[in-house]
Amino acid sequence: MLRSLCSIAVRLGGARQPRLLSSAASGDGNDGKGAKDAIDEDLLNAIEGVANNIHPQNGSEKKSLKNTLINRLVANEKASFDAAAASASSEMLDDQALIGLLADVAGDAKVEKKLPPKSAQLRQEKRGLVLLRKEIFYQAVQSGFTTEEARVKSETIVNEAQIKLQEQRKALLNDVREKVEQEEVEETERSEKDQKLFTMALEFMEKIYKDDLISSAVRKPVKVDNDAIKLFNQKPLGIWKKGEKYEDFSLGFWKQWDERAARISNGSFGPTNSFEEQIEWTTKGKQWEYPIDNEFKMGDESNVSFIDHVFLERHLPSLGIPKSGPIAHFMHLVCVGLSKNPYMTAAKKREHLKWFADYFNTEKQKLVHKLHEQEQIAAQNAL
Amino acid sequence: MLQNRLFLRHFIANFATSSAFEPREFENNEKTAITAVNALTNARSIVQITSKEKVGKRFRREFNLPQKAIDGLRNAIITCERPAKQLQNEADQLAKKLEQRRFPESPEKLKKLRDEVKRKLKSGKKDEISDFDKESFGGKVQEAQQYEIRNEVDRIMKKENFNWKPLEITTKESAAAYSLARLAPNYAEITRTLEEFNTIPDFQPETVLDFGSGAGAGFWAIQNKWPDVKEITMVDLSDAMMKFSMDSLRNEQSSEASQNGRPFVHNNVNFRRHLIPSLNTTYDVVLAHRVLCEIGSSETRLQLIESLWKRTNRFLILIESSQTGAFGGLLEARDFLLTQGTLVDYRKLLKSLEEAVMLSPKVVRIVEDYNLSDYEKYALLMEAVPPGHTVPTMLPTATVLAPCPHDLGCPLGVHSSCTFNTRFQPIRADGRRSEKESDGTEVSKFTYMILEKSQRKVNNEHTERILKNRKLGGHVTCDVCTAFRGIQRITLSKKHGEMYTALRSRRDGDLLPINLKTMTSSGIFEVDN
Repeated sequence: MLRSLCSIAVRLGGARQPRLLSSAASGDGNDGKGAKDAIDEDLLNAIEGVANNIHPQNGSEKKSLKNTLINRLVANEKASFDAAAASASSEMLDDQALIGLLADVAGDAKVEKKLPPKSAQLRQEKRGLVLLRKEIFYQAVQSGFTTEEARVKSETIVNEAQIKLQEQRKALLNDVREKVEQEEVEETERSEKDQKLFTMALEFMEKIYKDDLISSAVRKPVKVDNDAIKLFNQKPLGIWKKGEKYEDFSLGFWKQWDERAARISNGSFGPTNSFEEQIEWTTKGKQWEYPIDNEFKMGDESNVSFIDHVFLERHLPSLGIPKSGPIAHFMHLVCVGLSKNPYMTAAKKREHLKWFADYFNTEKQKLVHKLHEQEQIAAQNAL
Repeated sequence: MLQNRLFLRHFIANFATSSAFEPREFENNEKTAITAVNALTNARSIVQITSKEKVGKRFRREFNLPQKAIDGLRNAIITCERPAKQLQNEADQLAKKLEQRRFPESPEKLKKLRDEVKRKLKSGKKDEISDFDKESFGGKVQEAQQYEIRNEVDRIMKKENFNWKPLEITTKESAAAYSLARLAPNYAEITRTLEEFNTIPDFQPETVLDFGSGAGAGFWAIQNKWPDVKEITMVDLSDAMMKFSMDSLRNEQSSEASQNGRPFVHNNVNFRRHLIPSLNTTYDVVLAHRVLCEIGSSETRLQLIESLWKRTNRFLILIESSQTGAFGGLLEARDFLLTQGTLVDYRKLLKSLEEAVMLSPKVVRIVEDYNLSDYEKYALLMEAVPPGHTVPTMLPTATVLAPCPHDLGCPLGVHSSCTFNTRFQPIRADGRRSEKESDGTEVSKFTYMILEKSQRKVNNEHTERILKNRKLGGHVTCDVCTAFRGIQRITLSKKHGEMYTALRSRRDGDLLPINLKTMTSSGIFEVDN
């Protein structure tokens, strides 16, 4: 954060540096014509006056003196700007509190002590206790105690050692737990320091960019006052104290008259636009319902499949129609015609077929057959 | 075992230092109380000091070869082919090599080291023949590469001082060089060790075994200590060394003993290359001087210690160099004998008691209690077993005569050793002075262990031993190895009178001339309380 802020300050300083340098360079090249942009008009006039006073006759010396004075003033201006820029950029580095914060944040974390695994520790302790017991037993025997006394003494000391070992292990565990808690506390403090550092950096940034910020007048939000008096939740004033005793005296006729007038005035005087008009027509059945549906109000026919309408030849064998001959040909034509009729129901089409079947009974079939044969013979004789 | 000892010392230190103790110092006319501090754990205690009634003489400072030994060595060297000056030069080089000789590492550790070195070498090399290319190269190229790697590993191991080999003496001249290099210091070391037997005035061994006799220094030391030994047996694996020592021990040609058919300076001296296989031949004193450093494996060393122990009637003496590795090997042998000596052969015991119809529930309970240590079971069974029966152990019971005042673990750490010094006059065949010589004598450092085949006496006056005696202006600060309290540091000043005088005259490795009786201690594990 500090590095980026310093780089921003350096960039701000660098943005104005080339202009001054270019003006200085152009000043040297153009014999002071370019430098007039950086130096005031009054100052230029003063320089002219001084040059005229010192060298009134010699033109070349007057010109060189004027150039020297202009260059020196330009250098002085550059030095002043450099000092200002340096002080601005070094302001952050000289802030001791900020450096202290950074040092705290960048400090290395302490190396955490590791606990040995418990089973390994217990095994080691057990072995140590056995060796300790042997040493104490040996010392007791060599000191002149009897074997039984030495045994009792070694057992006592080993028990004491075991108790001390357990206390030591518990103390170590407590130390580790306290260390963990302390680390949590330090983490919290470090986060607080980070927040403080961020706040300081933000203030510094605002200080740098204060002149560039747009001071726009944003509309202020209006706060609602919840304690204001609500007009419609007030209690009656209590002026009329005997309101319950009054009755309504009126004729029935005028009451009905008033109700009818109210109904007429509350009701509308027809649709106010074209949409309401069409809705009214659709409700009354004067207009098709939109969107268009060609199955609109089909009734029972909506449950009948198109197969029953189109494929009617399958009913002919059950009606007794012969399968070949002129009658069969005729009935085929009847089926084709009925299947193309969109205005008849499937039941009505079957009635037509039944009528034709009743018409072509057995006697009519023989007659048609005979007439057909005669026609065939006549056709052959005609050839 | 070292880990157990270290853990136990650390274990006790944790509890001993948990409670603070303010020492008080007062003086009586006869008895004086001073503050003693444990040198390793910093536990403090108040110790009452009194003069010992019978204070033995302090050990001698200088041990020189007898003239007979020097004459014998000279006669043997004269018979060598090469001149004496050349042999002395070889002896000097051998002495330097033996001084820097290291104790052998265990084969498992060496193998692990070799594998690690080889792995590092292979990771460093990048022109290794990969598995894909192995088929294209012949067997000879692969063998050459393996040979190169092995040579590299050997070179690195040798540079890092892992190049132990047994000392081999195969010629008469090398035996002469070894005798010139080591006869005098070996004699000094063994004689200084045998000074410990001054505390046993009536001990007179009849038979002595010198295992790894070498130049015969043990023979001369035993002759000097016990002139009336009836039989001395010298065992050495090196044939050339054995023959050279025989030449050194010959009588002169003009003496009467030589004419009577006895060529050696002792009437009954045996020279052997191996131990007698039978266990019926036993020796009152068995001496093994610088033998453990010649055996490369720990198991083999313990086997040798066991066989020597079974052939010992009473005392076994082990002497090694003062390096930490050698001291570790010595401790290993000591702990082996002490633990096996108190480990009861339970199956054998129960079987013999059952046959005698004397098995009691008390004995069974003691045997089956797994909370008791081996020593505890041994002590309890010694009382529980009916008279007329002995408790069988894996090995005969051992105790340490010297230098330790106790039979427990050594309180010294892994990287330190219990060192003793001795002075001797060097013998040289070229007539010049030795470069390490100062005022005509040299110093030899060693460590030793004397084990006795018996049980330690109860309520005995313990022989505390001075490890380090710092004689400062007007007072003396001593590190003392005690029987029960590890290494204690005590300070006596001139106001303590004759006790101060007696302590000041002692050297490192001597016995403490005063009695220490602990009155109060900051430790919590005290038997006296």
